[in-house]
Amino acid sequence: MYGWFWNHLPGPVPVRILLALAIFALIVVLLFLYVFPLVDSWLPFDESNVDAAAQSVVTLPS
Amino acid sequence: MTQTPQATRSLPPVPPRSKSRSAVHFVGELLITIGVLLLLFVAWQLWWTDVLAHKAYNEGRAELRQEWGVTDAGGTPNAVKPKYGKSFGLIYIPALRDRAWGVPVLEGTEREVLMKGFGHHPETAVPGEKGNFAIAGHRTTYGAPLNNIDTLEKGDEVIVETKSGWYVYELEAQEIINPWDGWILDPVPGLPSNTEPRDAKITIYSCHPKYTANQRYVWFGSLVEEMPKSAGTPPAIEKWGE
Repeated sequence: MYGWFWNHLPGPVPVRILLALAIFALIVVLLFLYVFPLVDSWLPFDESNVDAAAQSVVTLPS
Repeated sequence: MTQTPQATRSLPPVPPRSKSRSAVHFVGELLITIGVLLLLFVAWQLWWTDVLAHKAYNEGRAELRQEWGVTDAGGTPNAVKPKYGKSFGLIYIPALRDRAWGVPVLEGTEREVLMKGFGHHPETAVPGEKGNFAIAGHRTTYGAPLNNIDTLEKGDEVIVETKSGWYVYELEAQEIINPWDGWILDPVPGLPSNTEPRDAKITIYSCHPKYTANQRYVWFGSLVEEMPKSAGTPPAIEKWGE
């Protein structure tokens, strides 16, 4: 997978290293801005809907 | 220029890989990728959400100050119920000064609200009102204003600033409860939920233990001082600044 990726990068080795770093940075940015917030909203760490015995449903978040 | 055999860059010929070997190779790379992704996610949670929250805190604080500055700070306390999802006050906890100092408190306790500060349970009292002013805050991630809620002690203050004034609550009792213990939001926590409140109370809680949502760490307290903005600022605010 990474071998294939490396072989498909153009230019000499220093250029390839820079390109690989740039692409990695871009992926990290996309993860931080779009993917992780979405994943975080699926995780239960933040809040839990709870049924208090005699009351209606109340939310007790973290 | 002469080249010694050692200096040549040509590698020995690589024998063609068997199918199973390249499969193992692929799985190995996949596992490394997953590992890196997980580490990045942890970094995002522990570091980036704090960055986001502090930005939101600063914006919320600036917005409130502007709003309060425009119209005169006098007036009757808490005439209007705050709008859902909107900030209506600032919270200062002297004992947790590094994280919980001038943090906005917003109406509502859902995820999006708690990213921007403390969340106020809309069905509970507003600051200074008879009944229970119940607020939630993050223990970890998103600024984690209540990261050290377990280090609070009886007698510590929670100071709420609203448009109309300052409300100083003093913490009295602490408890660890289950997520379904909705009674902590009652007008008088510990008494039947239809009890008519005689005093202004505060309930402030967060997740427990850290990094889980298994239980809740709660502090209960009472209003000990209430002053309009015109009467100055509470001593703790004087001491450490807004």
